[in-house]
Amino acid sequence: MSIITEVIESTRAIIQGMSVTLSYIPKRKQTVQYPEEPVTVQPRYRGQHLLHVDELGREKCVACFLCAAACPSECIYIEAADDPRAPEERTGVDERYAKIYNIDYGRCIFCGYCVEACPKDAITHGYNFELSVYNRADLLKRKDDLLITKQVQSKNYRVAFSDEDVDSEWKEV
Amino acid sequence: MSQQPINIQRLSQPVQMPDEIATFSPKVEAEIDRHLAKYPVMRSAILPLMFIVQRERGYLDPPGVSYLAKRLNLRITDIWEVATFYSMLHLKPIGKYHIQVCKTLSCKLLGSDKITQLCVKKLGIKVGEMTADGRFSLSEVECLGSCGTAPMFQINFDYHENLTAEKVDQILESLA
Amino acid sequence: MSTELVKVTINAKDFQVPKGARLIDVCRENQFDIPSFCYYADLALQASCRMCLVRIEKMPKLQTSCTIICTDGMVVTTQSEEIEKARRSMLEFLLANHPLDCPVCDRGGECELQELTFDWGNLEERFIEQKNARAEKYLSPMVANDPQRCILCKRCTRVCDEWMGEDAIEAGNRGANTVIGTYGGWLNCSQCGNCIEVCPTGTLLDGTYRHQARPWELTQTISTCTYCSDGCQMSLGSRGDELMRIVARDRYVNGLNGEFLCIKGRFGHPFVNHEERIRTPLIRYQKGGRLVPATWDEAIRFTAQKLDGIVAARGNNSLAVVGSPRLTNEALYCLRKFAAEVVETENYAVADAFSLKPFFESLGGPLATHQDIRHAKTIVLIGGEPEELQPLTAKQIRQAVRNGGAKLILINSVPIRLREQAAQFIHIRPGTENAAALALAGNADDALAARKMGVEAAELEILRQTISETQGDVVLMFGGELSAEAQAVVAQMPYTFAGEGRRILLHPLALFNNSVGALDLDVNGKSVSDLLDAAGVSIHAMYMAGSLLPEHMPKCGLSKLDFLVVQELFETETTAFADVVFPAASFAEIDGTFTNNDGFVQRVRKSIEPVHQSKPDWLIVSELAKELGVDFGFERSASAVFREIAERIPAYADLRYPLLKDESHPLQVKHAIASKRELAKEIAGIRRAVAELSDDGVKVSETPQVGHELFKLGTLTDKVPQFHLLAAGNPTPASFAISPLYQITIDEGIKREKAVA
Repeated sequence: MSIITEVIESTRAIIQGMSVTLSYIPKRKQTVQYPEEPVTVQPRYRGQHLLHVDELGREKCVACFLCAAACPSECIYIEAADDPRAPEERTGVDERYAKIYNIDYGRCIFCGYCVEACPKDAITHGYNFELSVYNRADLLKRKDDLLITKQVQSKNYRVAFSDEDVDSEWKEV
Repeated sequence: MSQQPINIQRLSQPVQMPDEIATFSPKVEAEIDRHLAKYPVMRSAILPLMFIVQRERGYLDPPGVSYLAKRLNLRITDIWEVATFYSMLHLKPIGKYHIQVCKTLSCKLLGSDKITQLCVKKLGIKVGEMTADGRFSLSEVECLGSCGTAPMFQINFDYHENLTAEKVDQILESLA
Repeated sequence: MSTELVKVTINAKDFQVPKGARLIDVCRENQFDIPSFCYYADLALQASCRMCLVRIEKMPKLQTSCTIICTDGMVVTTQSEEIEKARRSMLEFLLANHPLDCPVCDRGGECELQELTFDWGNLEERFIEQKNARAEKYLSPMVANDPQRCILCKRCTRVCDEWMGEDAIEAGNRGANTVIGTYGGWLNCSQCGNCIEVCPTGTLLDGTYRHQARPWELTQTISTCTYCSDGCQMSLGSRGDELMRIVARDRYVNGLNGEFLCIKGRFGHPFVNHEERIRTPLIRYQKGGRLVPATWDEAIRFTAQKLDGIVAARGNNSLAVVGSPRLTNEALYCLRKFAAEVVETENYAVADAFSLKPFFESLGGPLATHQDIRHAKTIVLIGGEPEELQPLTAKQIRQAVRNGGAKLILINSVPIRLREQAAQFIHIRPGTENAAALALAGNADDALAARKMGVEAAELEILRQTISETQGDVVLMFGGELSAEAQAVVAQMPYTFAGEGRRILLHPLALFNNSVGALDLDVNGKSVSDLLDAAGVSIHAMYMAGSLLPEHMPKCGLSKLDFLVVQELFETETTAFADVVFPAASFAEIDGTFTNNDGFVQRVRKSIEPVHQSKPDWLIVSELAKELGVDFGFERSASAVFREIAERIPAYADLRYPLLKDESHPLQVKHAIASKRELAKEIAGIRRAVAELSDDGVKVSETPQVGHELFKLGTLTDKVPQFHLLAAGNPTPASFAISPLYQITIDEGIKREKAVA
């Protein structure tokens, strides 16, 4: 191969490469100025778990341990207990409720099996993703950190509307 | 399979027996003895004895039940088992007029549910309950053998057949 | 069952089976899976679940295999489209009114209905009608009940009747409204909880473990019960460091007791994790002072110094070592070794309620196992009250009589509940049990024995005649009432009564889980009351493992001792006198063996780590021995202790832990059989003692209350809140909907939270 063809080939390669790069300059930016700007998360994003309550404010969880059984990383710890009070006064919807419900986010892999296993739709993934802490022990979240009525929601995200196609880039391919 | 002796003596009652035990007049006792003598196995006499106790005491009250258990050498749960099986034996007080609405097929198809609902509304009680004044009890029973004249109910031992809403009203009025 | 064989063809394969075998058993033994709910081996037949349907040639309809006895030439099909269809529709009916609350149900995960629904259930339910809702309730402090889950297999009612002889629960009402219940809605039975165990659904549930854990998170450990001498095998379910429950379900454990357990075995375990467990070694530095927590090193050093000092000042025999029949063989062996080889004292005793030593010295025949009792033809019970003290033995007797047609001869001063099953009841005056041994030995003293017992001499003649006419096994049982001489006479009875086709088996009703083992390891032990009498006189220091029994407490000379060391789980009346208390590990935290009254050596296995700072009893003794300059060389291995037991004790020769690992085939200790000998001396002694008895004692005619012994609060059962309710007469609560513990307050012990440390 002569040196001339070599120069032409490599110039063409550079032009080809740069044309891709330069074509993106006028397009909309994907980077978000986090945390000044909120991050847009998908409706089915798997963030920190939420424990749900029913319309009377009673916890939906009946401590059936199916989430703990389904969990591949064994990060859910539950202790069940009896609630002898009248149905209206109970902590949970049933006589059986979770006295302790811990999720260790040091281990959780956000696979969503717990959500799938739940027969009462009591646990779902929320959108909170800011889980970094200064102390490793703080990664263990207790029931009060997970309950939908008590969990502090971060201001740094917005949930994409269902018709809003943020993930379009993936779909184009 | 099991070779239980026929007339075994029950020594303990695992379920608390009512402290009080019913007593009967010598005439009734004699009647009971007559029934007991009829059966080679003592426990077979349970039904006639239950009817006598119910007739004498109005219903199978706790002292009556413990009398039966003692007399027949049975556990108190055995008495309970039989008493709950038959709709004509009562473990709860029963009203003066016991309305028994037939709910088996023919009556059901011809609207026994409506008859029951009418009675419930009229008497202000649920099925299986007794009015506060103790006049009426309402229950649903299985076939009373009067399918040709369905729907029907039985009040105490009298049949009231081919019932309609007006007829039920009329009957209940006349008894109230 | 005869040994005659018949030919049965199952799914085109031929099998030779014993005549009289049940089809369902034959199929299952040969790996043809037959589903069933109501069939339960050794109970009356029910055939109500219709899951075990099979096709038998020349029979017009599908047949329930649980009610069919195999006959020659029977051709059976267990798998076909027709059968599958029938089973699937039966299950659909069973589920018609079954609620879909498996997530809440405590049985979820080990539920037979759940399992068979996986196999035979349809994906969709066709019944869309509203279900017949019934509220959950409690039947007793121990038994929780959810009537809607019931499939009416009636295992519970049959077990209650046939095993326990109580008939406490029955099926009430009729048709679709049938419920399992009881008159008045509140059970006052012996609370054995066997109805809970056999329930294939979540209808009857353990009220003490309600809503606490799910079966799949529990680690199951097979172990031996720590209460009575029956040695029931059970499965300890632990989660982390907490013992959650005890069951005998056959999916976890398959011991001599089957699925049977009594109230103590099943519910008496919360003491293990109780907050009152002694946490550290305690030392009382000054007499009259307080017990102060100390480290292990300090406590061992302190004890060694003190013991050394006392032995130096007053000689070896000023020290006594006292074991407990509740300890493992390993612990008792170490204690004995400690007494013999470390402190070299002659004073070693086991604090049992009564000694069976004379019995084992004259033992003339083999011990009866519980299986032997079940299939015995004649059972003679002298004294004792197995329903309350050895519930499994009582169940075996009851089944032998009811399902096996055995004759029970009862010789007792009290009309105990087993009298319902007795073919002959010899109602004697209190305290005249020894006269029964006299009557067994021969007719020479019948007149005297009958007069003192307050019975007809003819009754004793019938007793002897029944035994000597029996074809099959005769089991002689006796309780703690017999004197040493009478025990020896009963032990020699196999030589008197044995004959063609008849075996005489013996079954002592020892009181504690390891009474027999304690005796095997105790070669020339003394009686504990003698040692206590000598306290302060010739004995100045005592080393005790476990506490004294209440009957030894009143005259106890513990306060006169210079130095007392106790190994205990809890602070008791005995530790009140102690100078050093070592925290011992309970049965759930150690490895070891117990020897039951069948002579079976059975394993105790560690289910959880020792709580707090407690250590196994034998390890504490070995560490103390090491401090005193003798190394036992066991190196923290219970197995090494047992190996040494096997080497040194002839009856345990050749036994090793690996040989004991299968709980379904327990090994019997080889007790030496004494040869036939002259009993004249013993008989004369009994005759003298009997002659001194009064002629006009009053017979007890009242049958004792159910649970008068079972519900007694001991050191261990005191820690179960529900036992306090039972001990207070099991009052009926205002509402059955919630546990009576939340409704009735009897004393502090009743608080549910206290049971968990």
